[in-house]
Amino acid sequence: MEIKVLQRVMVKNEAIGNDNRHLLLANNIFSINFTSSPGSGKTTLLESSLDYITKRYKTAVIEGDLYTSRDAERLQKYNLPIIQINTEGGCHLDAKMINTALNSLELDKLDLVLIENVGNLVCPSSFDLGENLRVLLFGITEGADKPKKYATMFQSAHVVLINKIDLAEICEIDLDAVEAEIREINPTCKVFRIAAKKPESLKNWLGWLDETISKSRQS
Amino acid sequence: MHEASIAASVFDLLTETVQKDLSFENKKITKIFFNQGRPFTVSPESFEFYFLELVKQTRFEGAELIFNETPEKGFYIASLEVEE
Repeated sequence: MEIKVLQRVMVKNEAIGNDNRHLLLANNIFSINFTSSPGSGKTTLLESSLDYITKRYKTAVIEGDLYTSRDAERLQKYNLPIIQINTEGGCHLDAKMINTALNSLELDKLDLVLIENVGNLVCPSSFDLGENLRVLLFGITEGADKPKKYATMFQSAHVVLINKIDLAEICEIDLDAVEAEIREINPTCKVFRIAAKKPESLKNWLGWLDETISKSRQS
Repeated sequence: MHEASIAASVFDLLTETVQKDLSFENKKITKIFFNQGRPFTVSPESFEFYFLELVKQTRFEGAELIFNETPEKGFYIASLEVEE
């Protein structure tokens, strides 16, 4: 005898993700989940943006890493609350980990929570953390063929930052072709071209982010 | 690798389901059916590896896992087969 169950497996993660969303909304906090392969420049992007961001928003960072606190150490100089999550081999952050982290922050004193996910271009796409914005960094040094190879990550992103564009020539990457492939996979995402080590290249992305945060927090 | 945490979620959901639903009472579970839509996010082989470890010495041990492709996106526990 067959008994129907029909239960979506991610339902638990999604329920906690929704709790996180409500918790953040109740405190008028905007949140961003930064995802990418290892070495695409997530921490470098935070280093280049945090001076600008912390002038405008009371910010906390949640750092995901398998075993180390190396990224958190790099951000210590910005003097903001940093929560380190070590997944001990786990390849992604999930909603429960973020819930624990949020509950250890003074949420009433924050405007913005930045989450740096574990470097992985597969699994984080399946785990809703309750974030407002999912930002995927794509370092072009990884190779122009990656968007279609790792399509679920590109499909689930609201924003794709094509990073390391200053190396395009040396890596023989056609940025227009890369952007076209990303848009083919995800026609609605915003795409910006940046070089995370060069803060002047972040102007359009940070300008757009400011507008998006202000719209979201007013409504 | 994320199949390990998905296997743990499936185990929790199944345990809840068979506790709540009286039709599973005192019945041996012989098959577990899963549905998955494209793009796939769960590798059946990897999932099975973690799941079979997890269910050792539970009432799900020995159940056959069957994966079907469906148009609907996502990964679902579809149904359970029990011995009459």
